[in-house]
Amino acid sequence: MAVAFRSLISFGLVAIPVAMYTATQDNDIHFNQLHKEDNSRIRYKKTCGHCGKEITSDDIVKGYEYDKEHYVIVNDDEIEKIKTEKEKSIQILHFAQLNQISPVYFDRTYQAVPEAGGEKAFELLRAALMSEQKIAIGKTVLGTKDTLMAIIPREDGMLLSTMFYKDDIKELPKSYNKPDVAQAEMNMAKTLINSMNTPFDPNEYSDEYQIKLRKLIEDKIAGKEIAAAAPEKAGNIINLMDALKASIEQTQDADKERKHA
Amino acid sequence: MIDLFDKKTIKPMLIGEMGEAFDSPDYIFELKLDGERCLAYLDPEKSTELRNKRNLKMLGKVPELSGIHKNVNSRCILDGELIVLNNGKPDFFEIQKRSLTSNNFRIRLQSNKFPATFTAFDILYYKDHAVNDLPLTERKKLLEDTAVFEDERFAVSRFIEGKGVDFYKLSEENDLEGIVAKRKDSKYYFDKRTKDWIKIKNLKDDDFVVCGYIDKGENVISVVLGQYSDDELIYKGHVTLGISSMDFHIMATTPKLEAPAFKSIPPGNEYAVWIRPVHVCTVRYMMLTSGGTMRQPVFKGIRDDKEPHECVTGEQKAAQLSH
Repeated sequence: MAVAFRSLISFGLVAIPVAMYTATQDNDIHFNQLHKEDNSRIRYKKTCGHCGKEITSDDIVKGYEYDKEHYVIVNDDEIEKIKTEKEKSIQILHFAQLNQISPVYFDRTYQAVPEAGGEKAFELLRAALMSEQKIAIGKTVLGTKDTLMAIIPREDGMLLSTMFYKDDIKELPKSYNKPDVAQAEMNMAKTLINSMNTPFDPNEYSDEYQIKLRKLIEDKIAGKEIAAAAPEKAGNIINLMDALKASIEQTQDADKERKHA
Repeated sequence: MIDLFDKKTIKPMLIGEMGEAFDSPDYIFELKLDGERCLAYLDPEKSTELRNKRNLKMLGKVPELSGIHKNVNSRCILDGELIVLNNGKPDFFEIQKRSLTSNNFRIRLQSNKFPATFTAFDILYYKDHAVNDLPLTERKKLLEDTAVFEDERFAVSRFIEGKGVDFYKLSEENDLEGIVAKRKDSKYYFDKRTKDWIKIKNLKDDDFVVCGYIDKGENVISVVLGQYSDDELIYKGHVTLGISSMDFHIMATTPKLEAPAFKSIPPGNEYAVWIRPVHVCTVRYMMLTSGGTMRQPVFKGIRDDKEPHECVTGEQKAAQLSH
């Protein structure tokens, strides 16, 4: 697993070098589109909507459609010029309570691990956040974006979650009525909730549809391999190494005999 | 005293020399298996833990090896090579595929088809103490006495004494990568390059930073290579690669750079696409020219177990050798 990116968490007077690893992975089955007749991959060709010519990346510029079929063209140099100055570190802005932040703000999560020389300060920050039950809010530049981040301590390591800005969050699209509820109804609902209260255990859940899909594909592969010629014996590394060693020792014995003769 | 077994931060000793085959009573010779270097932390009572050269956990990539701690009779740290056999020979591309995949289902399919084997060639820790200060011959004896149960998933590397020339010839005839000569009295220094270990290979190889690529048409690209000298990336030429490879897919999906990471580049690179210098690849070649460039370079593959800044020029490597 490659490091997603490296950074420095800058906290007071110290800068903690950290490596960020992606925290989640996609285990889903993805299909390729194939031509029914010969099982070859379907390729996409980019063509111009006006002249029909096939287009390569050199022929493409970026345009923003500000009105129907009216575009302003923006080139890479112009985009480059307005980029925020690249700051290499994650600046901690303040500390906050995790449960005070709506989950809608959290985007991608990374696992942060200290790099050489940063272990002590990393552990200090982690342990202090843990014991104060706080998280840190910080900012850094990722790619071309000034990114808001939450640094969340765990028993082992820390999580770094990129966050949305208030601007990115949509409002509730519709208002709805909130009728009054009677106390008796409320009590009944509460009783029901409490009777079904169990701690969240991630081991309990898996994508059951994907499991069935994997089984289907494994069975199909197995069927194919049985239908194909039986694979030759793979051999093993012990036999290979023993055979080579034995053949050297034979020549050594032969040498000895020759010397004795 | 912090326990090496619990800390799990050891970095292996690396081969520091490349040379021609020779005979010497001071050396043992063993096969250089074409796989991924790996340290195994084995506790027969508990579990298996595998770490690569960058100390990343490897067991998730080779789940079929999760029981190899039962192949030893004492708590130990073993140094070895993770290999996948294909038609009876180690197949680097199969183990590379494993190490670059994170999709559990693909890993499971591959482990059914081409299961991996851990081949131990050294022991660094035994029961409750480090043994890296013992001379190699004693470590080899201890390894033999500790790694007692061999099977399809776990093997101990065989070695022969003195006869490097014949052994190398045999490895060549069998189409294997080559052999390694190791001084009998050598100690094991963590995280060091050593002159006591010499690789003797048919094809030489070296590691480079992938700095960019040039579309050559007809589904072929030239990969632009670099190596570090101090903190500066130095241009090291091209090697060709087909675009249908997984390696090119990785390069093409890496963030682009506006300008090359080199201070100076020769002509012929005007149409290069520059990418962030974050990937390391291995290139095989027949020999170096007098000017230091590779003859007949062949792209072997991207490797995930080495950092870009560890790919240094020949001069830097010579300077880093421990004596």
